[in-house]
Amino acid sequence: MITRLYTPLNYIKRYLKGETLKTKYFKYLKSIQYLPLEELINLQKEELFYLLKYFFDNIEAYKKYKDTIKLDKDTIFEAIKKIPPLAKNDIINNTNNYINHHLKSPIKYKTGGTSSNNVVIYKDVSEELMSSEEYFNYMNDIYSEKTRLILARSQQTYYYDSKTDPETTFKPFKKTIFMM
Amino acid sequence: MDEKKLLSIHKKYLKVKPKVLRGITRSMYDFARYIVDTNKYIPKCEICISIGQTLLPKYKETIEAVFKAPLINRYVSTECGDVASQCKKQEGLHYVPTLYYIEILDSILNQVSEGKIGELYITILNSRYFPLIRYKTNDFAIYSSVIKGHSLTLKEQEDIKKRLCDLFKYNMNIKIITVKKINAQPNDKMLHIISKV
Repeated sequence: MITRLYTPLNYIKRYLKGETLKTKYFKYLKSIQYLPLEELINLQKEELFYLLKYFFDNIEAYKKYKDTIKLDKDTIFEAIKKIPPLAKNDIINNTNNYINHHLKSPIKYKTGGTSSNNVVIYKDVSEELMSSEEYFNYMNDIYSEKTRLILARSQQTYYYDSKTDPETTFKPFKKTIFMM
Repeated sequence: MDEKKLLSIHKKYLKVKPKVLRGITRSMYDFARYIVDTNKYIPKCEICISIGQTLLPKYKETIEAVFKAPLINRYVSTECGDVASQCKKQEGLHYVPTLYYIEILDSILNQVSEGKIGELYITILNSRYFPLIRYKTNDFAIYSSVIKGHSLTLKEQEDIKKRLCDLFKYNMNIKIITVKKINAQPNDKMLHIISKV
């Protein structure tokens, strides 16, 4: 009952504010979009630093690098070069080693397999909230209110506008065509 | 797609009259070719977005002509999400540096030099459950030190054409297009992702 009321009320509230269907992350991207290159690179370094630090602590496959690779924000681009690339076969053969078992309820994705074997990967819900798609749409004057017709051939692909949008739906492509 | 499916898409298109058409490149092209071949009426939309496969010039021309709308090229994969996209200027593809760290490397994992082709490796910076660090995408790119500073990322990719394997399905004649360069400025970096025809 609460959810039923909350969703339309939230939609109306945001509509009245003139900020319908915009995620917080989109607002963040908008706020940094004209930063100088150096500052963007610094933000990237910071993100990369915390990412590697987090995975060295929490992911089995990367724990071995904790003692051998020294992490520092200024030299993070050098540090990442010491980590071997991740191929699709690595994921297929050792999926469990790459999963963060501290988090729960991931969203499962399966690649179409056009470039190699099918690969199953997982994403945390928080990752879904931080997508560049909304910003890319904004760059092209596409807003959620506009009707979309989506053509796809993949049966594994999931499509949605934004997790925080009231009309968000998670629907698999059952057929070639999917309409929103 | 067979004719039955294309006919069904056409019916739905007429019903919805979409302002935005987003699709796998080849699917959109097949649909556009179907409209041309059968001489069916199709209302124009405002913008088309091509994802998932190489956008060949002939695809772009046909799709834009049929739907009477600009076609935006977007680099999207299931694993990495919406990595890069063209803006309205259609001069290159932008990516968000706070979400992705992109490397273009040669066979011994060194950064390729200016204008050279390398493999594309992506690190997703917001992943927490399943790490994609230096993930090998099986796509190819050209590195270039060119920049245009009118959007979020400042790092642009001029043209994306991806997935060599996709092309085997449609065209056995594969060659690599040389990506034209934009005027370079010193000390700036830009990524050009290229593909094959």
